[in-house]
Amino acid sequence: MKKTLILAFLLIVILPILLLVWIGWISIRSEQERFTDQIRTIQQQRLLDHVEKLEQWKTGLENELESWLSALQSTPPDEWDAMHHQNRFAIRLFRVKRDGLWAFPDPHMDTLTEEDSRFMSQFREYIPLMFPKSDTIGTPVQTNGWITWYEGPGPQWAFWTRNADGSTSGMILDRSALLAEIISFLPDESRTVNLSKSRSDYTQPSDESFALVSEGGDVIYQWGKLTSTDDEEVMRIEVPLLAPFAMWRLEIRSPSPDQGHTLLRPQTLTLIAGLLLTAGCVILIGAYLFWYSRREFMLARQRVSFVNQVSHELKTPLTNIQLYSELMEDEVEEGPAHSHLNIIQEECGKLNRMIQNVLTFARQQKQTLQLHPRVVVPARIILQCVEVHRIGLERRGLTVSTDLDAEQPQILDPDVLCQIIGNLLSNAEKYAPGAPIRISAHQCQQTLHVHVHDGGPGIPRAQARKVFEPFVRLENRITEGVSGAGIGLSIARDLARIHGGDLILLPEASGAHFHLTLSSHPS
Amino acid sequence: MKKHPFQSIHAQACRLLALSLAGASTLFAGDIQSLKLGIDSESAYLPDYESNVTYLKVDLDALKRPLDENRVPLNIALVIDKSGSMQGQKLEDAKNSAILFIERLSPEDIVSVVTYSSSVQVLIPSTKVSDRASLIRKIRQIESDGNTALFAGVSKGAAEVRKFAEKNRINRIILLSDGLANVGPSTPGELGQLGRSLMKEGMSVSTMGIGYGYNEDLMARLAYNSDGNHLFVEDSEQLAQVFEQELNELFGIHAKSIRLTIRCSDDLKILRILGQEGEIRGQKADVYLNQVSAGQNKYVLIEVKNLLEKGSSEARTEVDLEYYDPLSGRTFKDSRLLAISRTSDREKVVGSIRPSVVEAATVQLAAINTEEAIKLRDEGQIELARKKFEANATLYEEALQYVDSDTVVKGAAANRSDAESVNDDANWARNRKQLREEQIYLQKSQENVSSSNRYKK
Repeated sequence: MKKTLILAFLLIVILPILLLVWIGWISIRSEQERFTDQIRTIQQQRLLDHVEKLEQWKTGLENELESWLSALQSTPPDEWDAMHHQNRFAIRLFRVKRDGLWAFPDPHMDTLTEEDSRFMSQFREYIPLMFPKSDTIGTPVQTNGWITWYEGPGPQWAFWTRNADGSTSGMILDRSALLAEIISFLPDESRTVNLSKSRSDYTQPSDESFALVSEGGDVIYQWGKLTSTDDEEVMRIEVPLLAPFAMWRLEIRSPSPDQGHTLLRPQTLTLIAGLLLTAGCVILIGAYLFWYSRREFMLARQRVSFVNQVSHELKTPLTNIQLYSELMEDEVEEGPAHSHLNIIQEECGKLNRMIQNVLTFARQQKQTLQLHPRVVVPARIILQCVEVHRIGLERRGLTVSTDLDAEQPQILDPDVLCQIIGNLLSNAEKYAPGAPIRISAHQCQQTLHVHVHDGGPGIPRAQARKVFEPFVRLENRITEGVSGAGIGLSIARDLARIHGGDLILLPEASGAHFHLTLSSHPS
Repeated sequence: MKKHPFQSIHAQACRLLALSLAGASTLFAGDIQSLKLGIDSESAYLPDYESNVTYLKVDLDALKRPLDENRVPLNIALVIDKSGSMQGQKLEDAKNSAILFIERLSPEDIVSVVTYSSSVQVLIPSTKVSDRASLIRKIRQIESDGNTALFAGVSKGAAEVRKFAEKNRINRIILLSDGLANVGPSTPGELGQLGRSLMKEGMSVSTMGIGYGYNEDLMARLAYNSDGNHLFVEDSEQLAQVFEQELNELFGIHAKSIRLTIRCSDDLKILRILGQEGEIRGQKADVYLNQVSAGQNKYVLIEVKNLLEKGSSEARTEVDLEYYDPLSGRTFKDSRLLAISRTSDREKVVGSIRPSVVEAATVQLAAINTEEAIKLRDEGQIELARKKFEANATLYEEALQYVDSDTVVKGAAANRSDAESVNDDANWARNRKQLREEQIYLQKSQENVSSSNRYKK
């Protein structure tokens, strides 16, 4: 009884709490993911803002270079070799004729240097990029563009524009100058550092760092400061720059939102508080239910204990009454007095059985119930038992027919068998008045099978299980006005089980059909 | 510790400068050219019996001017390394020197201060030096931390200078560092490229390396390619003096955006340009200088081959000078023509050798050898490096028969001593920085202006 209660308590309290914790955890997790995603999106957007600004810078640069290159048109070719000194981005100029041949450096000029020749042979493969074959009619001819390739320490860039005569002018850009320009365009620290630290409005620099990262993963430029250096605690988001600088990327590092701070966020705190409150309520309800059922249980125990004590006290006087009424029976002649005496004896038998049940129940509760098996013929025991009850049953209009095929001697506790049969008959007497009762028995491999089938209204299937529970009386009109403590069937089944058998209610179209099995006791 | 010949030369030069300043009474009007152009050859005659290699020297002499004269407003970015290694006295000295520097500027000047460690902070965006107190307060708040993002620091400094990079200002970045660049581009090649690009914008970077930990190759290339000064500041105590020196040079600049074009007749093949960065195209050599300061004598040495097969009786070289005077707002042009006669008389050729050209050629060739020696020493080829220094000494000694000059005498002695100390591992870091500084200094052919050597004990 106690174990089931604890189990019930666990189920009522622990399970919902676990469920709540699980749901809470899931929702915190999803909240966290949502939060992380949000942060990611925000950070990504911030990076994209920078990328966009760089894109504007690039457009500006393109315009600057384009106008510079077109202004170069008026410069005679023999002065071109000095012109790259006029542009800080240019380390070399070139000009390619419409037919893809070099105009500058001019392979035929006498001032051609070795470097010129090397450049021309290296750059030759990129010339077609400036003269794409337009296979779609109406496609506007590209008027400028970038060419990127890898050479030496890293990427190299060339920018070209198309001249009015279809030729292209271009320059090889200075990587360092480009880098310096991009760096000068990106933010520095002065925004995050407040110079007068003593002032009250000193703002803590935000804990994040940005970096421009090269194709090889090296930091080209960085700003901002990140306190954590542990890679696992850092959320890193990167966005590549747009062409022709797509080999570089902008990166932002900030403390990972998965780390620590989650629990301190208001939404999470609210959620946890709600969970704790709900868990508290569930525990209170569970405790109340536990306390209530325990009180009920204690009350029932007290009742049984009380009845038990009373029964003990009743037993001796009842035995005396029985003894003296039997003595009297011999002295009294046939007549009304004799039949009155029979009734007295019969009622005494009932009372005796009730007392026996109560005592058995109490013993079983205390687990002190002991069997006293001996070799008996089951059919004889059953008949004796039926005989004891027959008069009382017949008075209530119940006829008992027996069909007993159990003549094999068997090791049984006859008192137990008798008590079970008696309880079943008593049950039939109470709930199936005026109906015939059939008792059949047979033996099968040291097991005694007894069927008690009454002709009463039967027991609804849904309640078939309940009838065996102690202190349960099925609430319907049949039970009205019927007395009893509700422990008869419970004791009968417990006894059968102790005796290595069982008592079950077989489904039947009409009447209650009990099937008792008792196996031979081993000792 | 070795005593270097250039020390005394510079000291002498400085005395000369001081004398001339004291005696200067003439006021210079705007239309007076600040640069004097000259050209000379190794010998007054070319041999017509052999195809020898010879040198042409183009001189640029900037007129000395009194310091209190009107000067060109400056546009300066101070780029200060505040990485962890600068912590303590070095940073304090750097801050104090920067403050002294700013105190000497006038309200017309523009200054910006950029500090860098792992990242860069534009501490003072380009501003006129009107509110000195607030500038100084900001500089005092610099604190050290982190790594060395040198490239980014210079980039941001350049961006600040660029804001006011007017024609009538002297645009300069002054970089202070004591460490190796370790964030962002950090090879001498990349920094040199940056210097070259800044040079095109008329910006020079003067680099000051403090202590023994900085990368002198990188700092030297950055300065050399941008026509700035590279200074080895062994002890940060010297910073104030170095800044002072830098400022004096800046105050004296009256010629900027200088372009020299040298054209040789067909019978002279230009082999290389020594003494300045330049570009050779056939018979033409272009040399660009950002500025020359008053009292400075800069020169370009052109190595040419005497081509007999195309030879006529006379080889001609023409040099054009073009520069801008920011004070008068005028562009000045000048040109010289040098005709060298060919002769079969060996006596005549040898007899008319010009000592100043021989000296310049000796110094330049020695500087190249020094660069190679440093490289060999880096590769662990100590004996080969020693041989280079010895070759230098021999070079100087051979020059002695034509030149009677302290520079040459002491150059020979110094290279002998370099040859001896080349395996001195303990002092190599220091010696290397000193050698690099001298090499860059000599290659920039600043004949009369003192380098930081002057301050070395």
